[in-house]
Amino acid sequence: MSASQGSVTAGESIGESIGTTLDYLKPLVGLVVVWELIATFELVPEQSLPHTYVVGETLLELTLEGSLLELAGVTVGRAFAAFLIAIVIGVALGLAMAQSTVIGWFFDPIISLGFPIPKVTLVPIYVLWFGFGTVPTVALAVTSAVFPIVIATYDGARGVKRELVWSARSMGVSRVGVAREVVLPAALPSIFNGVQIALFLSFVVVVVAEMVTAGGGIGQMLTESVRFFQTATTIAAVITVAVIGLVSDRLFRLFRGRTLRWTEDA
Amino acid sequence: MAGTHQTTVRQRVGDVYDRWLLLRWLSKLVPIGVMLGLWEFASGRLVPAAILPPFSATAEQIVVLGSSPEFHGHATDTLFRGFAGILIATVLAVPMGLAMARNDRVRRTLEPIVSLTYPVPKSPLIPLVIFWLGIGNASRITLAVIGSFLPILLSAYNGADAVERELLWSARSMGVSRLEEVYEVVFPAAVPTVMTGIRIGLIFSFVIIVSSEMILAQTGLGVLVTDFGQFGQYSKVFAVIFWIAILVAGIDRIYLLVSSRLLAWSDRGVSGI
Repeated sequence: MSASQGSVTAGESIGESIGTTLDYLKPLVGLVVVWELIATFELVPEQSLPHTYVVGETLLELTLEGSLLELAGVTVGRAFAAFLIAIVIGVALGLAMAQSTVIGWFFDPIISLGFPIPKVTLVPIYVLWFGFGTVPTVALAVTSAVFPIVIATYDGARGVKRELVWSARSMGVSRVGVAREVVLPAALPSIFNGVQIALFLSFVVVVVAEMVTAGGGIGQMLTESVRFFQTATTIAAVITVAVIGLVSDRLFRLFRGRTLRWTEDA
Repeated sequence: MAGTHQTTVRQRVGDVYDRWLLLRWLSKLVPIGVMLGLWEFASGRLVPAAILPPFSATAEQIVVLGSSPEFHGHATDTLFRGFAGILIATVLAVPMGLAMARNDRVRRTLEPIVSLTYPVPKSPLIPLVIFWLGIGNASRITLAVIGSFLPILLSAYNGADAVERELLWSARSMGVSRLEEVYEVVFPAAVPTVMTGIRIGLIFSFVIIVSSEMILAQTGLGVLVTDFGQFGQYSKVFAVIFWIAILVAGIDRIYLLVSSRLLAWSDRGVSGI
């Protein structure tokens, strides 16, 4: 838990301590310059790395034409659906595991052994069960994203001070009531750490599933454009996913800061 | 009288405790057994066997696969790619993370890059990197480095940044140079955090390698999964998934065991989501 907090708060303190947008623009400008130099002097074949302006044009064209936004919409919708489902399942299971010794005993080994396993291997099985398209993609992303949420919730809920739970129980609050009114708020900072990783994983897995099953969205666009040597389109798709990932992460941090304003961990 | 009574109680408590430790160990296996039992029961009864082949059929394939040299070749390739990637990422990322924490200039240069790239999903790079570097080891190792680099870098940075000032002051007062300071004080203090970062990096690098093998490759465990899937040999698919699970979860467990041994001197352990 300490580590997950570490990695997340590090990102935050990094964001805060910079402040100036100039520092952010520098690496981006640097990347474009290096890329353009490589392309201009043809250090790699043009087919591998087209000029920056070619990629820019492609990006603009695909956006105006509407196809890029449509595909991105499919991917974002799937990732977001998986993210929300994973939160509901993950938080409920994590809380139940912390509240009940039996549930905790049963799921603890399954969760801790299952977490490091690459869930993408389930693609053929999910295709067999759910067919092609949105359902197996979302199911796979849920399967991946639920683990960090369960672990973070379980850890956070177990760390809640016993006195808090006892005093609530002594005031006649039910077990479910204690879970909702006492444990959940107290575990929230930890839960947010897990949820942030889940957001990242949802996007990663949705794109991979789309690539493996040719199941539409940005993922299919990526594999198809590479197959037809349309490298500019591939890079445009990579940039699109990068921007989406960055924006959703920023929005999530804002939301997290708002929600956790009352704690020290915000 | 009271004394003997006390010792017997203590003995009994100790006995139960010893047994309980063993029981606790064994009890961790029970849920897994229950799940496998449910799987065996459900197949053919609750769901058709075509959709979920029974565990016994999968177990057969697990043995067959585990003793086939072809499978060993694929497994060795995937493992080699994963370990090579994590090794390169560690060698590159740890010094950079330490430098970021110790030097303002390095920090100001790298911080924006890290915070811009950290939340970005790396999986869209898979087709591009395969296109650039081919379908062999080079592209997979590069992808593993891409997948595990930032968690390790951030862990080194966080660990080194959190070093207590008193430690540094006392080292300084003893006449330690700045470089020695990093080597003797900052690095050891950052090791527990770095170990956690490497664990996360390990998990990420296997995810991205297996994914890339499922998308386009000639060898590797990911290839086996998609190949068996395409031919509808689902008990074999489950068998490969089982072996991947055993290998990756096994590596993770061994890593946790070894690192907790190595970190016995520290008050912090390896954790991480």
